[in-house]
Amino acid sequence: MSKPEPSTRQEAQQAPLLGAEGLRVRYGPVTAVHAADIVIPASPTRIGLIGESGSGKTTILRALLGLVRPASGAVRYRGTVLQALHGAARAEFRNTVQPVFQDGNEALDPRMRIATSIAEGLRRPGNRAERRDRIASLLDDVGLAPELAQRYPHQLSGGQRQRVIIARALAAEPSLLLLDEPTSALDVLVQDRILRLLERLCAERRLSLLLVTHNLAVASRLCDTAHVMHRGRIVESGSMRRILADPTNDYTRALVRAVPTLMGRSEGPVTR
Amino acid sequence: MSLELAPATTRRIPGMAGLARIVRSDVLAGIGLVLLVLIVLAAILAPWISPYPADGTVATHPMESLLAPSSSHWLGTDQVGRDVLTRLLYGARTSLVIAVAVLALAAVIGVTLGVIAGYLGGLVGDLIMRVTDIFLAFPALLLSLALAMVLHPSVTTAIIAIAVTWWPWYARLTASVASSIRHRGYIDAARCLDVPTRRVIRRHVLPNSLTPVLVQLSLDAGGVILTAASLSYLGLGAQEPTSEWGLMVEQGQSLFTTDWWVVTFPGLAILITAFAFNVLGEGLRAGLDPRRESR
Amino acid sequence: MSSIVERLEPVVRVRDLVVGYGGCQVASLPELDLLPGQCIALVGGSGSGKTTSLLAILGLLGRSASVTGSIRTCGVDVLTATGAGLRAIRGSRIALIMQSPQESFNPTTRFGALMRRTLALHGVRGKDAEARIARSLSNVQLPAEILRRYPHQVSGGQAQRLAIALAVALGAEVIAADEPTSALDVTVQAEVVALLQRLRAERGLAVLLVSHDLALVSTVADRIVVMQSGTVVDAGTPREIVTQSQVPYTRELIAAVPTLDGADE
Repeated sequence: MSKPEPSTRQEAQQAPLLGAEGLRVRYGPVTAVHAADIVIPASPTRIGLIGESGSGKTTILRALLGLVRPASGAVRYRGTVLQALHGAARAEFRNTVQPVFQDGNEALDPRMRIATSIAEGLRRPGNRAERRDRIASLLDDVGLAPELAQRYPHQLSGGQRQRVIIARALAAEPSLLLLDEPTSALDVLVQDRILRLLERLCAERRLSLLLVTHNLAVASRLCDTAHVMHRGRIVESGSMRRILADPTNDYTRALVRAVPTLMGRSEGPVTR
Repeated sequence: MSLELAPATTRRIPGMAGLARIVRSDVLAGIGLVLLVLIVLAAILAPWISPYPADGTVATHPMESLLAPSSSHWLGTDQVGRDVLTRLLYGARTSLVIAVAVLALAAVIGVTLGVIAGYLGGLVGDLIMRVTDIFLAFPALLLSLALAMVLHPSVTTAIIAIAVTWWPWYARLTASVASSIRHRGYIDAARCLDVPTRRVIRRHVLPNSLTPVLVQLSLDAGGVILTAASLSYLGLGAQEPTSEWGLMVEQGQSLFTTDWWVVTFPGLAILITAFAFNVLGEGLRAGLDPRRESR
Repeated sequence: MSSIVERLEPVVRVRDLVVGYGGCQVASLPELDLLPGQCIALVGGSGSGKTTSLLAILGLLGRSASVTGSIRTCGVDVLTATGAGLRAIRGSRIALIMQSPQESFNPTTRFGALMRRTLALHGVRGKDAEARIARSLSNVQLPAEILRRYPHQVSGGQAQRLAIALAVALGAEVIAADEPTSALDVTVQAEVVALLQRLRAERGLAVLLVSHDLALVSTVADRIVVMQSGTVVDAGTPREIVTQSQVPYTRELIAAVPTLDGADE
């Protein structure tokens, strides 16, 4: 079932980190995703998965995380199908690929203190002092004051909670973050700060990311490559620059047009 | 993105502190709480505050039977001369013990099964819920009676017999909450960390499923006391010489027209206790519900 | 044009509005005049006081809020009006549209029943009601069969358009919208905004819009009021705000707007 072991280290490193081949996912009678192919290479990369609600983008994200089982097709981590991963290999998968869910979907247990939620992501055992230090350092990384560690989620603002969610993902020391609409529930100022945080973290930690969003502008800010989804199919793929400048698909064009622009600025890509 | 509130306001308050706050703001619930505290204190202190402690257990005074309420016996005496007030206070112990024992047993069984059924779903979940349905299909009192008749009538029997009919409600309640929790973000996050299912249930699903159960427990306490009283009334629960309100009602009912105090005071005790529990439970339910949902 | 506008009576007139909760000042709006057919947007991040101000104008703040100043909405003095007085304007003269459309609707009522019931509450029944409903649906470009659906069966955008249809059917002159597009996908946001624009042009509807999205409001508002931490820090036409404003908070809001980048990061 699994592919033969790569014979050299080179080969192993060139194999895509995570990929979906011919992915088809069904929820009962409804097909949410039709035959999708996505490749996330091993080297640091930033991919956007853009589409409206119901386009299937979140479903693909969940399939890549192994949270839903595909009806056909496969999701592979470093060449091995997810279901075939066990023991150490599986633990490595979990450490390497971590999700960042949206705050709006109760991504934090309301009955757990922030520190406990973050600690759940810590993969290496350590004594209490070590854990405390790592949690404090993670909070610092995401721009939160250490006193917040003992608070409950409802005592934090939406933006602060989203940072905690990011901190929990980082606790496992991943190489790839899968983000599901991380800023959609936030107001524009907070969104800007979270996006800047993500940019900084990606640069500092050489992280790859797959960003699922309905907002092309947000994706264009963070991502180099993009896949546009519509009704369960990937309708366009390519570099972000090309897609913005020269979209070939009608739906992509509609997405580009839908981005609200400020008065006094022209439509389309803005070079800074 | 809803109302911008001053930073100090919190939308939801998990835990006991929140419950206390809610109760204080609802007058009726506050009354219920005060009454319950008094009843519990009376039960605990029964041996010390009863005028005739021996009457609570084995003593009988045939010479003083059926005395009307007076300064020496505030609530009168029963057929064998025992002080009704004393029996009432000792009866509080029995009733409260029964209520706590039944609810603890029913909650432990029901919540455990419900959480597993709700979170896991699938075949296991279906199996558990069908078993639950079977128990629910029996009229509760009949099932309790049947059991009590098979076992030797006693307080312990009453506890088991009632718990057996009560756990399915907790199972259903918990299963419905647990199945809605299954799809929350923090559960997905835990699954993406390969946290073992057992731990997910223990650390995440269980604590978040408990609030409706707690509310239901306080509402049910009154019902359990009434059921226990019914069982005793039918001779299948507490037996002489144990003080138990239902038993007292059963023994005194034929004397209602002539010696009204023998049945009236235990009847009132049942009423007031059930009322107090109910009102407290309603207060908890009302106070928690509007704050519950964040969406 | 401006002189004609000046002679019109404002549908919403606010002076020296101050809202406090438990001794803490939460919002302060010194002056606001919403003329018929005009669109004014209150813009700011969370905690800026914009939603509080909107709710004050509708008389919807709870008793725990202390509200001072003068608010005149559709001819009614909101701060001194009775419940009946406020009910007379709410819905039929000024309609409120909220952020999460599906949550503003009773989940157990079909849209058709909802619209008929609401119209009945405002004294419109029978054939008149049916006619209004049909017309309002065509105004917002929704098919008649949506009346048979439940709120959870339609998309967010459709639900929002239905809320607008209800306002139109009731004959509202003013639409007060609190973050009406924040919960919607970008593609749908544009549709809802375009709808509001069209209704303004066709029916002379006035719109009081609350949003955190400066880009969105800059396409539809005649006037933007920027609020920060409860106070007004900036005001002007969209062009003035976007191109000329020197207020730091405004510039922050402008910089925060995600624009289409050529990914030169």
